[in-house]
Amino acid sequence: METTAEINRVDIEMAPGSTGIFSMLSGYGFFIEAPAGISVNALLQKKLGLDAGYIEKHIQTILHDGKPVDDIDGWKIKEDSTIALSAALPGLFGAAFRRGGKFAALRPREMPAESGRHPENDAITITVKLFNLSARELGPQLLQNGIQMSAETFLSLWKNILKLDRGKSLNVLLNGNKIDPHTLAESIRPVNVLLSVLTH
Amino acid sequence: MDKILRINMGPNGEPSYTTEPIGDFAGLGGRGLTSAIIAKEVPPTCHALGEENKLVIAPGLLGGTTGAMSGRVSVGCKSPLTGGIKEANSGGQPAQMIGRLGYAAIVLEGKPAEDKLYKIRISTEGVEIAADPELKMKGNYDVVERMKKEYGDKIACVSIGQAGEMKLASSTVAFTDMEQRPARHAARGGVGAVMGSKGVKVIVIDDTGASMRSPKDPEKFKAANRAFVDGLKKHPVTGEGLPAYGTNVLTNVVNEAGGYPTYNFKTGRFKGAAAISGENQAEIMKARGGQPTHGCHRGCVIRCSGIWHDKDGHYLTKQPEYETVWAHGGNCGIDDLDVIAMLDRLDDDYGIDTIEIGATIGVAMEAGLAEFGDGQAAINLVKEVGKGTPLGRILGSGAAVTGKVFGIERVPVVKNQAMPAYDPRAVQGMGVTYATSTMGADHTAGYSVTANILGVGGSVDPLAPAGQVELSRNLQYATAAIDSTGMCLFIAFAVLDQPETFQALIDMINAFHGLELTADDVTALGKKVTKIERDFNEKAGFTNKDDRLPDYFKKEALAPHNVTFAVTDEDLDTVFADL
Repeated sequence: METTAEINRVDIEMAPGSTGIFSMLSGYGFFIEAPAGISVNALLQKKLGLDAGYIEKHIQTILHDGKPVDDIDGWKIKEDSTIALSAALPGLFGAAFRRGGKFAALRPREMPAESGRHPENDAITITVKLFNLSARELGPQLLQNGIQMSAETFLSLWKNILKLDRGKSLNVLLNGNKIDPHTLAESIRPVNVLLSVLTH
Repeated sequence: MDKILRINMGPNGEPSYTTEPIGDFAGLGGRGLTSAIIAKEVPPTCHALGEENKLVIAPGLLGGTTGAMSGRVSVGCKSPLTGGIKEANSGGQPAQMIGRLGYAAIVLEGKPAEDKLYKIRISTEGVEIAADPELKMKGNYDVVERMKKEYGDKIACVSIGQAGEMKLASSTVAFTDMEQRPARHAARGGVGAVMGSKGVKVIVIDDTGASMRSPKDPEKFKAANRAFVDGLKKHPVTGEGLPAYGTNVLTNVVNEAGGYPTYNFKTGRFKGAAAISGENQAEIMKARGGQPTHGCHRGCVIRCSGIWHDKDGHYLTKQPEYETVWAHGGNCGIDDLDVIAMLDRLDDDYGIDTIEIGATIGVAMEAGLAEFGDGQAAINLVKEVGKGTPLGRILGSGAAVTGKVFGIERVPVVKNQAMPAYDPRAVQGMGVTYATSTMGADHTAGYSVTANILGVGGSVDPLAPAGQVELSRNLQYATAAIDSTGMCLFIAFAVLDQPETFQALIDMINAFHGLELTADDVTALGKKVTKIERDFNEKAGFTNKDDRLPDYFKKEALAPHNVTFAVTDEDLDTVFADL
């Protein structure tokens, strides 16, 4: 991850009830630092703060670099890889890609991945994507604490947010200074963005 | 619902109708009934647009009742697209109203001797059939508005747009929704062309004065219905995910899994997926005053549909489904939901299948008729279909015809029907269903209930290669059974995981009809329907060579996982070996 000096810090203050931004986080990856060799389950519990009951009930599909994860304890996460989390999904696809589901035979099943060559105490960077209800439910807390994403990803997300909200109910700060939401994109420097969202 | 309405459109004299008891077809509804009538009465080798073909419109076994989710309707015929038997399924209001009028099915037969276009009104007073030249080449929205002016706002309509009149193989039959908009479609297989070949533009259903159908055991029916609804509401798919985001909740995840067919099935990921995802779609609908949670018919408790408003906050179309968003979106490289919604509106108005035409435009883009990602070009191509230009008629004939005309090898069809929004290389079991379904490539053909619950085929080893074949077969049986009840297929998610919800469904049918069906009987029904359909197709000339995916799925590796379709032809041939 980048040093603080290379990060654009974007703080968004939203009016109460403007929760759309959390759902819109769906599909846009953000970075998390974790120890090398961390399992999917440990990532969810220790880094995202989810309890075992929530994971069991609500995180029904997990993809690691696009491949479905069934064994969340055995599956180790590689550096620079992407973990995607989804709530229950409809259709045959949803059934087939459900974690440990009865219809897993309908799609390829993978063995737990190697974690790479890093010593266990090394830190690695993982991209996390939240989808659908996962984004809506986990987004507020994560965004309140701040998430880091690439500037390219942020600009793509920001374009959608602006299209939806037209900047009407957003109070935006860039590196601590208030900025017109419509000029924010021009002021974002390359590399990463630390995004936090607060509702009043 | 103990009678069948037969409307003979000719050729001897003016159209006429008869009503007859359901007779040998008793106990069947929905797809079970449409396929049974077609198999018994339509010569498999007839021309799909000829007088010997029939169009059967049938509510399910619980149509016209207070049963939740029971408002689906089946439309059956010999398909002008596939050449085999067809059942296309739709929501909307007509199914319940047809049921309340007491009809298990409406059958359009024969063919008018003259080039006339008819409207038909069915009510408690009987059946009126009248020529109406004013309706010629009108879109579905216009037709419905005219019918409302003529017959009032308590009606429902079953209609075809310009594509059906032109007898194009991608044409649909439209069913009006709760707002009397022709936004629900029996879309697949060119069923609209068969209605057009009968010279029928619109069927107006007026159930004024008709009563809700009464169960044999009202108390048991009420209790079973309550348990069924509770089961749907507590399940995370039917109670949370679908109501919140609709079927388009799949876009992001299918894309992340690398199974999202993009640029005419060239790759499995689309860079613009997040912009057209269900999550983004729901937020846009809320911001514009649309509705992201809405039923497609009364009595729906899942409410996975919605209402899409344009940028100015005016109604444009219903919420485009996942399949539509994919077909017009990622498959064509388009990442603008407003463009996709406009295409959906045009499709509904002209009466064309969003999957078929989306796949066709993908093929046309590959042929160089437009650039991938060019939304306005896609809109223009669909408008060609509505205008009936020579190019529009080629496109409206589907992906297979378009591929042939423009010399394209990568044409994603089975039995000439375009594949939906899941690449079979990434979800191989889906590929088995695409290949072997009686309907052509169809994602809903093998969709629903677990083999273990329905007790067919024994247990499945999920790691064995044969598991995909066995699962696909059992799912196809189960789907045929659910389609025959007239229930929305989305109930399958709750039935899949909650045996008590499946039992509640059976209890509803039993309490309503005074039957004692078991899970085994439901399975047997699905198997019977599948056998009827397979036999029809065989007599129409289909062989095991038709149960195949196009060769390129075996040769071209799909990025990002670089997989090909690996199920062998020998395994595909075993899918229905038990029939």
